Amino acid sequence: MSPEVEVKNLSKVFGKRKVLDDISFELERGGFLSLFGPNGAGKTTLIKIISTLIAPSSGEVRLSGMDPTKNSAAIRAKIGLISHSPLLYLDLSAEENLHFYGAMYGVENVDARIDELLDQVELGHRRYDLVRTFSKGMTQRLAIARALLHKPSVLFLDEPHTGLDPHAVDILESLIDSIRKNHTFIMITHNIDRGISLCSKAMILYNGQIVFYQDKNELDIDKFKSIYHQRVRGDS
Amino acid sequence: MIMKKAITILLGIGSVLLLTGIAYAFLVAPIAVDPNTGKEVFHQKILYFHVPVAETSLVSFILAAVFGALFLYKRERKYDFLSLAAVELGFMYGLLVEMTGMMWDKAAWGVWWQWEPRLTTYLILMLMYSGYFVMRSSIGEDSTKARFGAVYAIIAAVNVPLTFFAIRLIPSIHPILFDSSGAGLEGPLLVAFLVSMFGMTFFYVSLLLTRYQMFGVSEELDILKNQIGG
Amino acid sequence: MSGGRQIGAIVKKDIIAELRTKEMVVSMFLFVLLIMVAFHYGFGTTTDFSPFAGGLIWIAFLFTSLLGLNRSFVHEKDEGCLEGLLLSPVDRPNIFFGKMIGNFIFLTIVEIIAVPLYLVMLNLSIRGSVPMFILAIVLSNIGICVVGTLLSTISINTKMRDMLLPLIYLPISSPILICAVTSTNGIMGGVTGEKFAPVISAMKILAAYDIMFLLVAYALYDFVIGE
Repeated sequence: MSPEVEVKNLSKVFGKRKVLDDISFELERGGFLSLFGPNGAGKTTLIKIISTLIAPSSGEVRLSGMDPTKNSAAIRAKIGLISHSPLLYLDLSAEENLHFYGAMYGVENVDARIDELLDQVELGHRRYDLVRTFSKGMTQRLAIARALLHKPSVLFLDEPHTGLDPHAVDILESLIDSIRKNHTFIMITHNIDRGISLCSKAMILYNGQIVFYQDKNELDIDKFKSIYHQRVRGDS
Repeated sequence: MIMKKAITILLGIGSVLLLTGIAYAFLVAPIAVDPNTGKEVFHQKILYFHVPVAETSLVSFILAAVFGALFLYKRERKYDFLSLAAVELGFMYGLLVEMTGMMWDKAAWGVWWQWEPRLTTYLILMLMYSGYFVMRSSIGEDSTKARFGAVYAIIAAVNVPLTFFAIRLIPSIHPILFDSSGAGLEGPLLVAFLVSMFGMTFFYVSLLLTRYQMFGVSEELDILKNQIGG
Repeated sequence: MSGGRQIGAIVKKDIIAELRTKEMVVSMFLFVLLIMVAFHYGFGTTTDFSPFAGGLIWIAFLFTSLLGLNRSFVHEKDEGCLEGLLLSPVDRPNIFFGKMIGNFIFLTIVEIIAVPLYLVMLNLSIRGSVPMFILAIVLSNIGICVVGTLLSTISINTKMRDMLLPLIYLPISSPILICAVTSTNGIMGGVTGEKFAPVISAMKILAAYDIMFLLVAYALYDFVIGE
């Protein structure tokens, strides 16, 4: 079976800065890639390219066999993003936000789906309240609901643990667990423990280049930690 | 190096033609006579310069839009350079149109400014393209700068005929004596006029190519700087 | 995943948000009133504004629309919502239409209240045909919103953000201003026959403007809102 995410010799140049330099990797369906690296290493750019938001300068990207520069709408229908920005409208209620995104993604039986999700993220009792009144943790839980609304098969998580209280972290992780099979994940994180425990592949990006990339079952945790401390904590 | 040769040749031909046309207009051609008053109108001669400049300016803006569209389609940096160069030249020529137009008005009517169609149209064009430069300088990222520049150049060019027609709507208090179409020019005068037009066109193209080259050079310089800077 | 459903959702979202906060409509309306007060004092002892009626009205609406246009995209930029939109399978031009229709609705609401007020407080009247008057306003509004939505998307993505919009929007909307003023003046003055020709021409140019820029926006919006 061909991989769900394929990246071949991907490079991205912004003006005169090379942000990604000849990146290549594969992620099989059901896989979980944890992406580490210091700020400015190119992690978010990599995700933005795979999720069709930015075009690559050179190289190839395939998601479910599709090219983001050619089939962007089809790809976007299959992916979800949870990032540190909640991507929610403050002046709308939880339900109105979800209805809106439901319409944008063409979700059928959207009311039932919204009920189900609000239950799962434990926000059912706040469904009519404006997002402006939510705490950070509640906003993130709603953002998770938003990301899962259209049942994406590939999920991007950009530092999803930031600002989450332990309760919200539990909800996030149990949700990930429940859809783990047949779903593919790419997660950017600074949390080594969680990142390593959840992943099937680990990668460290530094200055736009891959400096560490291993399967979980072959993972040399000491090597990982030494490179991590050297690059991410050390001289960067 | 072909470019350099081409530029020199164009510049040469252009200057010669332009000077010939203008020299003929000022030294050889008889002074035109106003059909209404029978008086001599020396300032009509400004037409030989004013009109070519005006038409070149418009052509330049259209070219800017075309290059912009090419950039959006092909995403090659050189089209952005050409588009920017065309806007710059169009703007410069537009300023000349305003200046010579004002000189014309002063000579013909005694006032520096009137809200007559051509001056007003070019004023609005100048304002539109000023916005272009402000917009570009307010963007940090090169690719965004080029992308928005291209879109704006297209929007502005589409707006040119619309502005033109809208302004012609307003009944003018002062009818223009000599229209821009060069009506009334015959024989050798017409030849002189056309010579000026051609000269101006060659001149313009040489300027465009020169400006384009300058961008290429500054890009190379940046790349080198980057390499040294590491 | 129909475009219509998506456009409708964007319009609905903007209306709901506006109904809650009333930011745009209230500030636009106050702005219009303030301009009217300024006109009154600016024209000294003049009591007859009818020769300049069109100009007064459209200067007010053009500047007021700037307020609304800026607000419309600020909400998307905050909280990263624009990215949320871009990540969904929606066609980029549909985002344009959704925002544009929303802007049009808000501008129209402000005008529905402001125009009668203007007529009363500046002692103006519509001597010509009222349906024509409304048509002229509608055509002008479309132009304002099409060009305004397109340009505000550009300006919000620059360092100057909403400060850039007046600089690029006002010159490009000159044909709207000229035609709107000409047609409004003509209609309010109740001119007929030969003198009415400029009014018709003005409305034709407005219609051409609207169509041309709708096409331009449709073709170019992809490049403006995303890469």
